[in-house]
Amino acid sequence: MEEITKKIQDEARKLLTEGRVRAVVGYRRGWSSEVATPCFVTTEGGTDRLLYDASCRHNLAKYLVGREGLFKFAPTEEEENLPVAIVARPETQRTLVAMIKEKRFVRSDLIVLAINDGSQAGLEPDMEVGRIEADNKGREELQAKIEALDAMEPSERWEFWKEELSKCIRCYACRQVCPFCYCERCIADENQPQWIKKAPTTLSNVSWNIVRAYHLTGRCTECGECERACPMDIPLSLLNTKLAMSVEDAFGYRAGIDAEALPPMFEFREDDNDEFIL
Amino acid sequence: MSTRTIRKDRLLELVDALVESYEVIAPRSNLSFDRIDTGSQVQLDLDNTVKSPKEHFFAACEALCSYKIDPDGVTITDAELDQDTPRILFAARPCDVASLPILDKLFAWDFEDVFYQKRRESTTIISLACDQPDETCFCTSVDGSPAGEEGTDILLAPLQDLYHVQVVSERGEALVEKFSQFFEEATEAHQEERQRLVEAWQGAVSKQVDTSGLQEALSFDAPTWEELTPQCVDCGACTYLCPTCHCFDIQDEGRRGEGERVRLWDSCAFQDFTRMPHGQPRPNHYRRYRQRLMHKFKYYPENFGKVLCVGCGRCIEHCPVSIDITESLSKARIGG
Amino acid sequence: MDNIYLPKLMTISEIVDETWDIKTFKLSPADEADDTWNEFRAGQFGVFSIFGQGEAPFGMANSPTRNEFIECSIKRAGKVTGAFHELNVGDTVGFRGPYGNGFPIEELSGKNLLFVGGGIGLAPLRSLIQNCLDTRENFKDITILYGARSTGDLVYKDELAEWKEMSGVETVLTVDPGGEDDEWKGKVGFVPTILEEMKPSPENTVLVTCGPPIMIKFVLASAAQLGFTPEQIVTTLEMKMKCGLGKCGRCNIGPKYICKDGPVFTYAELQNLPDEY
Repeated sequence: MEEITKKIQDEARKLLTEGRVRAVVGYRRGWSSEVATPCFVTTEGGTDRLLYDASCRHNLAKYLVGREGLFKFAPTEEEENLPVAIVARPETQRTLVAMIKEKRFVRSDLIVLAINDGSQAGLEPDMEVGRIEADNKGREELQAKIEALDAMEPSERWEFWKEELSKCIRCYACRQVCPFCYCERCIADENQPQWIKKAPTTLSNVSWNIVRAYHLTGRCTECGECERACPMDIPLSLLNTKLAMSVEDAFGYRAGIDAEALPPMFEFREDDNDEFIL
Repeated sequence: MSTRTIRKDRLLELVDALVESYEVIAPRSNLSFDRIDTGSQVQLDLDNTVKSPKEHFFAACEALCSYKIDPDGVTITDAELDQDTPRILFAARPCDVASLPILDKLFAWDFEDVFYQKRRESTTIISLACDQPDETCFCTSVDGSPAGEEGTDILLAPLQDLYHVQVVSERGEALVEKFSQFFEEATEAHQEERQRLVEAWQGAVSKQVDTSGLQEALSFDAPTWEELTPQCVDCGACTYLCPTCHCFDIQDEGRRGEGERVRLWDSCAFQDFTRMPHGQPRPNHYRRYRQRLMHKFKYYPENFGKVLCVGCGRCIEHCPVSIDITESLSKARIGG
Repeated sequence: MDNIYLPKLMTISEIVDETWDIKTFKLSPADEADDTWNEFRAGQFGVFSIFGQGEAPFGMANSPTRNEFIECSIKRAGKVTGAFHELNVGDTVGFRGPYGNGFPIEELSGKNLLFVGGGIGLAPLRSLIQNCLDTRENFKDITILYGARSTGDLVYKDELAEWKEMSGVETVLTVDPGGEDDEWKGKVGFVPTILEEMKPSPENTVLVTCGPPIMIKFVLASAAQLGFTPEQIVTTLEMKMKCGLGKCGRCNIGPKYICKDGPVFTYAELQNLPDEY
């Protein structure tokens, strides 16, 4: 891990002193030795803070999109054509592929400092700064839970989700950490008309969470940030991964894997599967 | 005020007895305080719950009134407050309990908020001292303590085999009298053991932040705000989990022809919090974060004499991007 | 203990179309036995509501000396204001108030008054203007400078004509350049520009202003140039509000809540507050 840190710092220093990037998006030490927090380095002097270890879990791709204040890298005139460097975990790389397909930016806007785990990477990194172990156990556990839910009667599954979503406090942490939640005005904030009620009643929470999951269908790259961010331990990955699997079944597509494949929600083909349409 | 003890193996029996004549609210899971039916449902071995117990005084959502619209006109019905049922808040930590005297000031400022007041008046508080402060706790930096008595009626402190029971108020005294069969005397030895332990617990609060002169040291115009927390994603997690955050929204929610005017939690961190059709005084993140810190550590103390923070550390522990408010405070001080 | 959030029911007695996007609503209580409903100070506001749509704060547009109704002038801008514009005479709305500090009318006694209004900003000023005109002997010279984007955007057109005819009151009306029509006899120019042309003397004068934030900004600058001290300038502010009574934490500028410590402030007070409005 220390090697990865050194590689990131060296590369960041080089990129910034050579004036090849506007900023480096990475991680720095947080409030304990087991906690990291995202950071943005724009000067050579700041590169000392950059690090990478097991505490670095956040999906930094979030910081490349957004409204005022979040997308900090709107360029000045001199910086107009400079890319942004980003420390990219495997999940982040998958997110970047999908964001490019959604035309948030183009590949040349990024310098990807990749941390790979051997999994399918649809993105050619500019530089591999490290290798880590793949988390297959996590994926298997998730798979098993989804299968258990699939095996339930619909009414049982509905009770499961009503109970989980009754815990939701509508803090919108899930939305705010999600790189694909970048709408200028979220449907939950729209009040003419008020599509989704604001008070955290069970039914209203169910509306909000299901609508968000629907809006992510075919787009979510399953980074798990929403579930990690949720203070109330709501198993959001189950919802979002299940929908990703449904899209894969119907269209043979899973977001962020293949850099060439077109997202089914964004394109129409005459031979699209329509067997699920009643 | 008197001191007693209660054996550890009798505590939940006491809770069972309380349940017979009170609505008892206690930590029911790692997530929240809820109403319990038996002592066995109380979770005593948590550091603290994810949600503070503030929702039992300042509800996350509740109807202020209801309305009905028909061809003849509109009828409105006042909210029904059934808060004459006496309640007990059990096993809340000193930080969470200290938030109540702080919030009291706001909810009684010129206009008495009946929803909050009624619940406050009907609730007796039995708090539980912290023998294992968490690494995110910083109560001692904001006038608190793992054995703080602010706001409580009875404070339980875990000794070797029993709890030391410190009665703090008349109300607590009356409760201990009523259930005296569960309590035994507290000896000199117990007092000494308690004193030693409390000192150890206070020393165990590792996170410290210098809050001396903080009110004067926070300046709206300081250039440090812009780069203080660029990683913040403007969610409401810190606000909703915080025992002292109290901002709210009012919405009419219902179907055609009838509904309720509802009060619900809101957060100054949200982008739309101060947004008007013709303008937005806090269009970017750093302005909202500045509002948050200045409200808590400068404006509220200026208006009410108390800091709007109890050092519970929830905002630090649960921030999705791991922001530490104590780091922000240190950096935001002029000259700091 | 009363429920401070419970609104009073009011009936719309009259609606006046002021402009294409501004209407004035005259309200009286649904409960005819209610006899405290119309006590308020000029410059205070109420939280009005349409059940099912929501609440919004509006300044009282009439003086407590002319309190046959409570009047508010509403510009269509968002959800609640838009819903108000769909209402008819006889419809029921909710009212909570009066809230806020109101204008310091006692301190204006014996002074010259200069009112400077822009657009719908004339609404809260009107409550004070009417109040002063109704107690005319308490004040010295009264001057009203009012402007809007165009002739069609001027509010209270009938009352403006009354003020123009009144002796003892100097009324200057203006529209922004390009906003005049063929019949316009008033001035043409932005309100701050006209203010400077008028060269009002700051001697024993209080300047009371309300209008769009950009206008207020320039009026403050012009007033300073004309020699008005910050204590001599009074304005009324608008921030997003929900509860209107100091609890929801939304309308503050620094430690001051617009709903409690305001909405009326002197410029001297504003100078001590953060620039966040």
